[in-house]
Amino acid sequence: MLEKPSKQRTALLGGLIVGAISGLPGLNFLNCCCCAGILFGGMMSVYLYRQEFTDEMPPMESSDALVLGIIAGIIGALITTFLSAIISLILGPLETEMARNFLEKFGQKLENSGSLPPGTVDDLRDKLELAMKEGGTIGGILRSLIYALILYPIFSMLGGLIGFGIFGKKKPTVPPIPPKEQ
Amino acid sequence: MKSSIRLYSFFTFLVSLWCIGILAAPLLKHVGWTQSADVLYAFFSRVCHQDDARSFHIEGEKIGVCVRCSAIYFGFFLGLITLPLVRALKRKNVPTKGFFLFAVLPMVVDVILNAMGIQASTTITRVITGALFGMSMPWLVVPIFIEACLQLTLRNNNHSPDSGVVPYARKTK
Repeated sequence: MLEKPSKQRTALLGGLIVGAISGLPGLNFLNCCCCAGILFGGMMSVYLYRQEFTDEMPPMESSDALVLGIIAGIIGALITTFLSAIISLILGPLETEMARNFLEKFGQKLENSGSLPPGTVDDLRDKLELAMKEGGTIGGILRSLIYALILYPIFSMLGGLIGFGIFGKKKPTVPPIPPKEQ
Repeated sequence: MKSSIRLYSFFTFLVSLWCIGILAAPLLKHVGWTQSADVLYAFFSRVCHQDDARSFHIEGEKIGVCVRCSAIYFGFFLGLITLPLVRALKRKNVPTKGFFLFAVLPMVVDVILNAMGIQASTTITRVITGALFGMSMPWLVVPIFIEACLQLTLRNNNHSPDSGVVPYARKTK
């Protein structure tokens, strides 16, 4: 029987998904709903790992999903912090402007339609300004990294476990029945 | 079985710490421990928008996360503590994809309808859909978490992977 596939590639891919969703402005709004982006990254790493299994290999186990989720979360935390720091340092003013425009356009629209309570856009604008101010400092980056290293592995692990519950089981391929000899 | 209970207790302890943290933020702020409260608010700000108008309040201060997130986390905690009352922890079968969809779909629909401006979500819809999702997840996550930890423990103790822990995944012939 063959050995199980290596987790490195899929953990890295899962980490990249987590990092991209959490680090890129606009996409990171997904994490506002219980770290949906991080959960998704953990789930995807398990899904991708599941695809690498063949019939000759031992079955994927729940411990694989757990470990994969945690590793993807750690990689994702590092990528997110790095990406956010780079974006803040290089594109700081531009990113702030983009996020502010996004808020003005969609936030105001949602506020006007009643989907967001009044004052939300102003509140979010203040938070954005504060985040941008802190994001560029070494202390801010370190604080982000610490929070991310605690939170991301937890949520990514949960995503991995949910992913295992959904994708982990695969129906066994039934070998063709040989014709009966008469 | 003892290991399962120990792992379940550990998991429940972590989740209760998380829930206590959510409630502790406004209480600490109320009693004047502003710095500690700010650390908790900053921590939870990574997982939630913490919009004041969409949060429950204790003593006039908003709790660590918004209404929907609170419903999810406290629903998760409730589902977690009722799980062993309803089914045995060592039961191996986990819910299906349909169960996951049943749990997540109402919340997704509520979020999408609100985002598209078709039907604004209310506190009640946020609580109901969030709690449904939160309460359902322990049924999926906890048995897999316990099994995964037992597998890792067995592996570290150099036991055979087949000596006791039966994987959920299909068995090869």
